[in-house]
Amino acid sequence: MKKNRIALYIAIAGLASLFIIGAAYAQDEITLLKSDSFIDRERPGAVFSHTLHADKAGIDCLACHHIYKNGENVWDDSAETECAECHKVESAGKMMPLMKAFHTNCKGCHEKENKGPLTCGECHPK
Amino acid sequence: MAEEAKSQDLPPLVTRKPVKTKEELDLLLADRGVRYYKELEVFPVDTAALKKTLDATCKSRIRTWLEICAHCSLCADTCFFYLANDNDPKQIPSYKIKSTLGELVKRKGDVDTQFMINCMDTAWGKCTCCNRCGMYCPHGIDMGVMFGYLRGLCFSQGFVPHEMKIGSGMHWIYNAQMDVTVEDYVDTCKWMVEENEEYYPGLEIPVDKVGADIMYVVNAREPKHYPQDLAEAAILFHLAGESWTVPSKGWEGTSLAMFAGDWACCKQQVENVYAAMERLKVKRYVGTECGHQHRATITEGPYWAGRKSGDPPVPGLHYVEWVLEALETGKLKLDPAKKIKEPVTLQDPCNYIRNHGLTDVTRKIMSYIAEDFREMSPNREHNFCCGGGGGMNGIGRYRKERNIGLKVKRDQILATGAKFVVSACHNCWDAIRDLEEVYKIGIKWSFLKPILLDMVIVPDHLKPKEEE
Amino acid sequence: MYEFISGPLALISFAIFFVGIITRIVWYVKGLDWRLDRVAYTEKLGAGITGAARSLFHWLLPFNRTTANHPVFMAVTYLFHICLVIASIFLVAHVVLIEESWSISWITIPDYIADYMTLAVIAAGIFFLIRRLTDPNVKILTTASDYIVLAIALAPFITGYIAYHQWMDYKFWLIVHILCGEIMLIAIPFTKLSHFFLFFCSRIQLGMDYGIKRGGAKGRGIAW
Repeated sequence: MKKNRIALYIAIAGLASLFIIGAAYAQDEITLLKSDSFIDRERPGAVFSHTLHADKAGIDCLACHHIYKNGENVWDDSAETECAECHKVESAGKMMPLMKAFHTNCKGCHEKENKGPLTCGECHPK
Repeated sequence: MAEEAKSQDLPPLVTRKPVKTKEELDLLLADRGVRYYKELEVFPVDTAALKKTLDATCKSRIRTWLEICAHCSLCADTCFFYLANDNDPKQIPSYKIKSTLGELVKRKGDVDTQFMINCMDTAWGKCTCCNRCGMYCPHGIDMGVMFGYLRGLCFSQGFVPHEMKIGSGMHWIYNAQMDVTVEDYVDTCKWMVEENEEYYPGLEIPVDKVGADIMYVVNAREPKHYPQDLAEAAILFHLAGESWTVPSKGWEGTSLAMFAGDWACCKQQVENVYAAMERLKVKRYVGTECGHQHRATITEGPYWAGRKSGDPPVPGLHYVEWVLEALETGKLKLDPAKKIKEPVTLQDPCNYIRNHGLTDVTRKIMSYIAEDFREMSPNREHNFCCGGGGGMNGIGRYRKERNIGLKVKRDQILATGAKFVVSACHNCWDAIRDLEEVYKIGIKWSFLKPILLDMVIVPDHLKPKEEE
Repeated sequence: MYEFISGPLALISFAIFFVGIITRIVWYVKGLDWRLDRVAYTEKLGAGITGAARSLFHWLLPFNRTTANHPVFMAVTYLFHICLVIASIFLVAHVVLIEESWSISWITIPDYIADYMTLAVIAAGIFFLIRRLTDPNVKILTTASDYIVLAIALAPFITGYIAYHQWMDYKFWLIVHILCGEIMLIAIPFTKLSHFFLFFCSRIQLGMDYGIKRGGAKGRGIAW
């Protein structure tokens, strides 16, 4: 009897956690901006919700995604979307280094729009 | 009753002005401090003048020192008074300066008589301005310098120990720390030649010889109380074949005015010596075996005299520097067989060791005269004050405090195992003599001159005729 | 709130900090007087510079008698100051914020090292506090301002540690941390914390004094 009950609890707990995780995924497509480029990262990668930004807030894709040609953003769905493809950890030539690109893009917009977190720990929670 | 009335008719002993006449001086000397300190108890502070002096002279260096003191207490065990008084926190240099000058600056001079008496008792009775604490402060705060400054403030307000007031008065009147006139001095020189020329043919003490290599300047105690010291100096110069002279005016190099904080007097005192240097066109100055004389005439003096270079008119040597030079160049030859056999130790005087870096000089001399030289611990620039510096030896009011302070030097000497202390400084010499008197540890002490004279080889041509 | 304290208020704090320091250094140097101090600063500049360098060398590094006589206290003191300066100046988060605001940046240290250093600063601070409360020598010297100054110096590190580890209400502690840092910056020119730069003035001055006058020209030169 006792064994069963323990099993039950485990099962319930397991299900519940699956449910929570599942719900979370279903609700919001949370992406950790955890680029592998950062080998010795000082802080956990920023928590970024694409849904919240693209769908709920209705931000134009081109606000973040960009490939500049002759001063014009020519990015489209078929183009490269991984930031680190172009923005390397160490700055190379005129290209903004990766961390600066993230901070400028995210925080810059949050500041400008007066929406979204600005403090370190809000994007990089422990 | 009658006596009190009488004393009220007398002119006041305590004033804010230095003593500049013989009448005032005699009055002070006759008083022996009794009426003097009674008057001091009720002597008002001129707070406006004090504030004015502070504004004009307490600048960024001292204000910064007072401000950035971290109250860490690391200076505590650097002070021999702290150690001698069983680690009494009230003897911590930082506490002593903070509760006096620190408070004075904070209150912008608005203090009362009792406060100034406490300042006086601290500046002269709990500090000898040996500057040892300043060498140990991580922030580079030199409390000895600040106490020197505080003494000046106290003096300007009349809050100065009886003997210090007399000391500066002596310098004003006699240009010497004692009542020895130029005539007295020149007579003493003649007398010493007469006493000794029989044994040292050709011996002379050339007075005011223009163009000599060396101008020798003494401490007034020597002509007054130990004239043989002057004779010894003359004999050693004679045996070394030096071209030397003593000035008539400007013969005295010490400065009790420095201990008293009477800066105007310091200036006129040292200018006398500098004038003699220039008048006699000498190449170098050699001062006697005195610590504060060297400090007053060579180290601090140029600044009082307004010499921007910080140098006296001609290079100034302490006696030990001349001795070492004479030994190293062979001008003076010592008989190695006469080296001191018993253990012997050396007192490092603050005024030319810590404050003028002559540490190696005295040690090299010891190698010529002692077979078993024992260093004190600590030594060199880290050595403790003898216990009687900064005028302390001479102030009756702090005799008890001085005697307690002597314990540190006593224990340092005892730890060496030596019973013979070489001291090329009058103040240290006195303190060690008094130390023996108070604590009876069975030691001897000596200046360098008698030791050298005992060992020196007299060149044949300078020997008396009958010995030939 | 965060925008204000990390923006304009930070700018004001830094301005007060730098202008305050420069003003006080100028005041210090102008207050030096060769006659009053009895040091030929300009006439013997060479000897003065040698003495000053010697003085700084022996006291910025632990080659001095006080360290030999008080090894524990001095070790804690050196640790406290080194960690305090390095952790705050070279922390990644600080450098990133400064770069984003003013486009200047410098090298950084890993966060875990800064973390240990912060703990070291706090531990040393507690050591100082206990010493102040218990050692009779320190007690007699201690004034209320000593505690206030210690609190001002420690607060940014305690709050910074809490904020970094995101304990409790992160945003609250972060704001408190920044405010504490700004209080410290503003306090430096006006309190005993001014030893942050006046230490150099004082040491250089005494070094020059010894180099020029007290043995520098003669003998082997004393380091103080």
